[in-house]
Amino acid sequence: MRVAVMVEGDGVSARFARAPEIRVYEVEDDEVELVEAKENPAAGLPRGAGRQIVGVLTQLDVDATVAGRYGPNALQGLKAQGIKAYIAEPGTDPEEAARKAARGELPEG
Amino acid sequence: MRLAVTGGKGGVGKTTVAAHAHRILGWDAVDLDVTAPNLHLYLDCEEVERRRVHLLGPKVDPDSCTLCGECARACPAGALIVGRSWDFDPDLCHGCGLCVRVCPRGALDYVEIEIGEVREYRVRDTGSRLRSGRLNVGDRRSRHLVNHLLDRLEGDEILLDTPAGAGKEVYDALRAADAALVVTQPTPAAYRDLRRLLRVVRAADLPHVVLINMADVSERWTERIEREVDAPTLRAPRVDDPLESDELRDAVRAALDEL
Repeated sequence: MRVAVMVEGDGVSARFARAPEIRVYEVEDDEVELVEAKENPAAGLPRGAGRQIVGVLTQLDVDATVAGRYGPNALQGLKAQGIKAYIAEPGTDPEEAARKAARGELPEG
Repeated sequence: MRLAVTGGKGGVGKTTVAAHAHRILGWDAVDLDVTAPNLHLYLDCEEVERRRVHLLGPKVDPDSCTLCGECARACPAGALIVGRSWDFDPDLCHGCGLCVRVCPRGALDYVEIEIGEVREYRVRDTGSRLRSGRLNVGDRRSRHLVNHLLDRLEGDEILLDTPAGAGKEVYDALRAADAALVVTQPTPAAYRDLRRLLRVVRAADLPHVVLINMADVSERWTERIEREVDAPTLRAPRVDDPLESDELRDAVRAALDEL
């Protein structure tokens, strides 16, 4: 399962669409591997970030995402693309968050 | 002549002056202040027609769409997200139609997206027409509605009540006009907005005069505006009932004579 964790500093970002960094993890049988880390191109948009980030995640071909919370536009867009939106406490270790998301242990947005 | 009445800051008396100008000239008027149209409240009007205004956005035929994403890559507004499904946000669409054109499968067709309406009024005391744009609450596409109205101007004697501020749609309105009556007040905030607006007026390159409304409120600021503004300036007094005031009416008439 591919999970995109929205990161700010060293932990899970409180914000979804405007988190500065995206880390993509491949999780298989509790083995977590970081496959990609990139700057979030939607972070600085004046508006419509909630939509654009969904386009970015679609291109990264992820199955789920983790953030502190989600905006309404983002949630609607994620639903349309079949990407699961998991909520984790801001500051959580990104790798741990990806593992828990893959296990389905996190609440959904 | 097509005359624009404009004012950078809200509340300086732009629409009141527009109402006086309308009653003096008797011309058809267009209210371009689409987020808060109110000229019809200043004039004795009856509504005669109401039409919805649309943009053309895309709709998908799911049987033909292969989710290739060409449309989403072409969309300048970012209104389309295509991945595992075709998802469209009508609020972000600006109706350019690029998506429909680039679709290699011809899977997209046009659908109407409502952004507001145009109400037409008959003004009782002048017998002329007032067309008033009204943007849907919360919609951001004011410029489309302003241009919808500007594209449909009829005749050569028209009064344009521009949107407030000094934005793109104000520029569009000024470009459609032959002259501008710029309303301000002798306060720091109004003067700051006036200077911003005058840059837009100069860019639109049309003759204009500045009417300092309630000039007697501050002699200091009135004099400063008169000294620093590079256009003819006139004074209008503070009055109790501006809409019915003969004094304000005379001041507007003097400003019109300057143009």
